[in-house]
Amino acid sequence: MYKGSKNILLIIVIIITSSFFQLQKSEVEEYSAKAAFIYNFTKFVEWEKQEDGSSSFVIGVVGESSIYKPLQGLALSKKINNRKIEIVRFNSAAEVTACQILFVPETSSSKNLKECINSKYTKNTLIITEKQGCLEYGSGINFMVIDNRIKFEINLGSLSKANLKASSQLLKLAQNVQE
Amino acid sequence: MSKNKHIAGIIVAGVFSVANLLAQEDTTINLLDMSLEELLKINVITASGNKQPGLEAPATIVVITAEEIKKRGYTDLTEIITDLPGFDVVNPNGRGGIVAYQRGYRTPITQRTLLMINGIIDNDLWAHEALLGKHYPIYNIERIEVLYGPTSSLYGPNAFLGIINIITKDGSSLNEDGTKTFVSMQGGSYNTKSVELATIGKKGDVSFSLAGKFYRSDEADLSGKWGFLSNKQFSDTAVWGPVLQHKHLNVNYGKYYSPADNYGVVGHIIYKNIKIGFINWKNREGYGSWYAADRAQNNALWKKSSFQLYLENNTEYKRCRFNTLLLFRKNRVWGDWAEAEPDWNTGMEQYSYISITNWNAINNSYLFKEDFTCDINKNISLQAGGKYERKQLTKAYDIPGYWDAFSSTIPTSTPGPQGYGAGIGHSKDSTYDIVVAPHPEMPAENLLFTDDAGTYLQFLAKLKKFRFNAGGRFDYNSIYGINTNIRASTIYLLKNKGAVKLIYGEAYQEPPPRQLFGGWNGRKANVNLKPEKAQNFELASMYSFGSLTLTGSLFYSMYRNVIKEEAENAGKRKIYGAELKSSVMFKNFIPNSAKISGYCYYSYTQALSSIHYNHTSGEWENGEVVLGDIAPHKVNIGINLPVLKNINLNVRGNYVSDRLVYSRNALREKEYKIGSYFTMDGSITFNYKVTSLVFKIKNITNIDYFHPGLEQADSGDDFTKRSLGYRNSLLPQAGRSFMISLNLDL
Repeated sequence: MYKGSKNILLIIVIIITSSFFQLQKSEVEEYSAKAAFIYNFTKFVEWEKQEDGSSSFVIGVVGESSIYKPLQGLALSKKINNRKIEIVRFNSAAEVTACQILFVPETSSSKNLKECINSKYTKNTLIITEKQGCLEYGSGINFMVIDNRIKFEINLGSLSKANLKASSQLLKLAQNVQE
Repeated sequence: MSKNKHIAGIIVAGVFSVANLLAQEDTTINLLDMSLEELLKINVITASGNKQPGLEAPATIVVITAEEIKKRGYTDLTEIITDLPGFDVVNPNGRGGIVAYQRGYRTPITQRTLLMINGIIDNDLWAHEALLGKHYPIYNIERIEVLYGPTSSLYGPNAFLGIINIITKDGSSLNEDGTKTFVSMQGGSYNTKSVELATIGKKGDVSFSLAGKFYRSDEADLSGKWGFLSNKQFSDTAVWGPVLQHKHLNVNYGKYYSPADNYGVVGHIIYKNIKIGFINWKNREGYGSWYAADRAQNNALWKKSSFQLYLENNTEYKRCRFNTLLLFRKNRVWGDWAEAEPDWNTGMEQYSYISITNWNAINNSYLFKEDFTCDINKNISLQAGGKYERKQLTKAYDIPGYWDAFSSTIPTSTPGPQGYGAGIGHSKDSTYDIVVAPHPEMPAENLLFTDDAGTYLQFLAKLKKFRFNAGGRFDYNSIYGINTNIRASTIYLLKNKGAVKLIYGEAYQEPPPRQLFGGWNGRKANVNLKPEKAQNFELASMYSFGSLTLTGSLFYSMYRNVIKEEAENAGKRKIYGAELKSSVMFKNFIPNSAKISGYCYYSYTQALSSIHYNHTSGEWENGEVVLGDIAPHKVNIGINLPVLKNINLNVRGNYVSDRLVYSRNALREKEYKIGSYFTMDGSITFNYKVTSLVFKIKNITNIDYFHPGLEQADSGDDFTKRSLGYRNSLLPQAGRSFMISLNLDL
């Protein structure tokens, strides 16, 4: 028979610890975090000077994705380089128009991703993906989830091709950097 | 205080914690104000499946995550192991838990797989048993990493077939100061009641993790499913005589009754670099179906316990990370045993020499371990370390009054009523007096001290898409001497989508002290046992096609100095096989529902032994045969279907092909094959805010099936006579059962 004293000790420990520490939310939604990552990326990536006269910083999303809502929240509360943020949803690669960032969700096919990369409107666009192997297709930054934490990898060649410059600090924080 | 009151107390504590926590104000996390460094540290609830654990690990690994434990409705470790690829699981429905043979290597109990909790080995010191039972809390688990193949070159002795490493959650994973608590209350078939509490917390530099589980069950009554478990045999007066006048746990001997009464508490607290942790559990179970009813009453509790207390320090200096471990542990194996040894005199075979005895073995050790990893440059890292362990071991079971066994209380020379020991009576006697129990402390003359030391070194190198690993380890033991083991691997990465691995590994298994010194009349010890040796060659690959991940491995293993149940080094074994694993996620056909996920594992195993048992002569002889008890084909399959936001359906199935019984099994004489079977388990979870209700069914189709017997499995199947040996040749399995869990995730 186990002794009652051990159980009582366990109960006391649980009650005391629960009282001592404050309630908090331990985990956040994946796409809320990814939206925050995207916002942070804009601080470490340089785009060519805007020549189209647009005053907004445009973030495009291809197809359905849970990131759309958190990005809208971002647009309402923040600015990028003192510019308003505009979130645009494209139903397919064919609909993509000029934007500074294009998020291609994992549900998109490789074909769709290739079309996005080859689009005439993404010559100066940071393409962000979230599926293994997308870096090889030409995305600039690819999200990964390792042990419930979001990591990212960078393809320098793709960034260079899109005339984008990533700071050394960003490269240092990347899980993997492809030349 | 009764057990129910204990459980009620725990529930009250949980409810108190809930109320306390809910009264506090929720904190909004403003992710947008976090830096990239901070964002990289936060935990997320994932929706995507683009993670591939173990891609660059120099081993074949299967990972079970906390999310999978929750979705599949698991309530204990035995269910998790049963669904893994590459394991032949035997469930005796008692005596501690399941026995699992990893990659086709049959052993008397689960001894050749290391069971770790956060890297702390929890196999017992005396028999090296990994007790895969229902005493471990599982809702504090972050993930379970199951490693396949020998790895003594890194982990030292007994990392022989693989490792099951349970990694628990810690408060440091929380994004802000606070606590997170999970409470689960369970009840179901066989009068099963269980409660589990898991909490983690963080405040500043302090974080902690604490989990406890209490489990009580009458377990399934299998008396009608196998002749040598029938109540007729348990209550046969010729066989048992005055033993039937006695009772255990307030239930008279003479019928199938094999309850379980377990608890386990695991926890740690971390301050900056320093961690203090403990593991404390006790497993008390009847013998289930392990033994034949004309030889042993299963209504007696066999008990095992583990207590470990450790101090860990993690530091960094330039490019090196150091881990120092100081650990004390104590294991105890003890319990009651009611036995009927058939009278060997001619014409008296239906009668028995009877005994009700109490057994005891206590073992402890002190361990110092130092490991470090240094990054020599961006592409090369070095890992090295060493350990010293001092063990105080029991030589032989302390069993007062039992034949010629060691006794701490009654002189072994005491003849008793039959002249065979103070506790040995006869079934024709009118009464039986139970002898005194062992002394709680082990006398010095029955103790032995051993010293273990080991050191290792390994390199990991990156060269473009290649990863190389090579290392070796040197171990010394004061009884059986020196052992060296090496391993090497080459990994080729496939565009971050997968990898191809070529792995060679070695290991050795220490002869367990129980077999070196702990003999009794039923199992002789052998101080000359040598360690077993293993070599493994493996080709493994992993690849992802979008949300489909495929993993495959081919292995060929050779084993020398195999220690069999009779405490002899006898022969070699060759085992080859393949494991194919796939997991997939795809869009749900139900609108507004998360993705459907599934897994399918296939394992092929062929195990050969260089010796076989001759059932006519009763001797082991040379000559290669199929080892037996290992199913050549096994399939584990499962699918998870979320329905809208609040419901989750999970169904899992296990197929085990037919298999020859073990060479020593009494049924092997007639080349008996256990029939194939397919079992299905399922659960449905209803979530509402912080509450979830899980309804689980095991063996949905209520099929009748058998597992092979354990150890010598020598009972035979002629139920009209006395059994041929103590251990049942076949073990019947439980029918359909139900469990309801009420969970609070706070």
